[in-house]
Amino acid sequence: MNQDHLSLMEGKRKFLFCADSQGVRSLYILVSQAIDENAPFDFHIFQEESEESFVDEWISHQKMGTYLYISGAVDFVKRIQNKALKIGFTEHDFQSLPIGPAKKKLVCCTCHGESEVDVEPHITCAHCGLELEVSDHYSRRLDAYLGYVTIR
Amino acid sequence: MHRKSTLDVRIKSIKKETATIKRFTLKEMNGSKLPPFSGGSHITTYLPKKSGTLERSYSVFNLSEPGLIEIAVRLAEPSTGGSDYWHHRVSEGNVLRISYPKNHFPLSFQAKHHVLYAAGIGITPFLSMMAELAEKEQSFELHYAAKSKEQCAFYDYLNETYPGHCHFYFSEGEKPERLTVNILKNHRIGTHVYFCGPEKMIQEFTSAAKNFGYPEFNVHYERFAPPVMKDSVPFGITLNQSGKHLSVPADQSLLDVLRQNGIDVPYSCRVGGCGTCEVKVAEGEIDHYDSFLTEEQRDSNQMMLSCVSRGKGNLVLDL
Repeated sequence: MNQDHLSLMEGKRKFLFCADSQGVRSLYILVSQAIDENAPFDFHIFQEESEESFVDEWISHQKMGTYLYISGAVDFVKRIQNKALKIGFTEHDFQSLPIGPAKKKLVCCTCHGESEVDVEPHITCAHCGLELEVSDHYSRRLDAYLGYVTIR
Repeated sequence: MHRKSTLDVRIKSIKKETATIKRFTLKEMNGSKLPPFSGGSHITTYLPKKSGTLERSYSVFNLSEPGLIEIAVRLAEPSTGGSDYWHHRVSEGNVLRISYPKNHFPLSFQAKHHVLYAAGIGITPFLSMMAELAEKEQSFELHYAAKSKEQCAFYDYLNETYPGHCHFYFSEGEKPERLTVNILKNHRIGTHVYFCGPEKMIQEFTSAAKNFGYPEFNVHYERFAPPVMKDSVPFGITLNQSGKHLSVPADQSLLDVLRQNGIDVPYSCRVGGCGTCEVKVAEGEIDHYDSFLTEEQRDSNQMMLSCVSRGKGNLVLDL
């Protein structure tokens, strides 16, 4: 669901751009593309977390064919994503770009214990001591990645 | 444990729903229950004819008692054999062979709202889907187009069972009303749409949904007849393993030709909807007519569904 860059989707009826102060820059190119293509869009920049109460109402009134872009700090992106998913957006209806290092939750395939990882490809499970490989196998339910047994 | 791949069933009752639609209720031979099925499932019926067995698939539903399976068949004109058989050669008490229920048209479990679009006999898969949605207390609506109230099968049943969920469009009569694609513009985010009806309706609605920006993921449809291919032309195939060259005539499918030549490609729906008969393509240009592969898979030019899709010129298959 998280991208390392964003691209403007073709054939959408409307775009929603949603950013915090850190994510604004990464959306400007897309916004100007939307303007060039005469595509309808809404652009909201949220300075404070308290302003986000408006998001639910904003996105829940959208019709099918709307496409959402989220960019900002890791926590901001996660909060907006969760709201969007709850309302009915799926990974087919949005792209998001977190700014800055994101910690991942890793679930050990053996003991199911959770660890936090930054960028390292291997870690030692803090719960059972098994050496784990950080996979890209993501569980939305657990909001975590699966840690496989490292085979050397 | 060995299980027979088909079931023998007895025709319990036949009811005329409209001038051209009959509803058949099937029951198990020994009185036990027929297998349960999920919303959108269908069965294949095996109709014995002198010229060979006709295989025809119909959506299943159950508006009567548990353990029965019902289908509704519209007499097609001209009939390719199936509906003529059901309407003119099947009587109450007859025994017929059917497949176990299969589902190539399931409901999305991620949808926040389901909108079902039916035209004519296309209502049948929605009867079981609506039963499932109502049971799970999920949000749904039906839009159903027919020529008139008299020709609208299950009109009273739908109105009584799902009040407030059903919208009807009758194209004939005093105040003719048409179901148009513009209605797709109004569905809220998180909606999944389902289309069943004539080929033209399915094409019109799926392409409109795409134009309005719906992801493919939110659009579902089911065909019971292969897509109509105008100007179908013959093409050649070369089989990679044996080097054998075969030709596929305009009036036959690749699947038919492969099976006639002893290549046992598995198949199920034969209308390009289930993916069972997929074959790998090594070289050549493919004309896709299926409704199963994703756009990326089609663009890869590495696979095709042999029941409906065709080649341009010559194809080299990994067979």
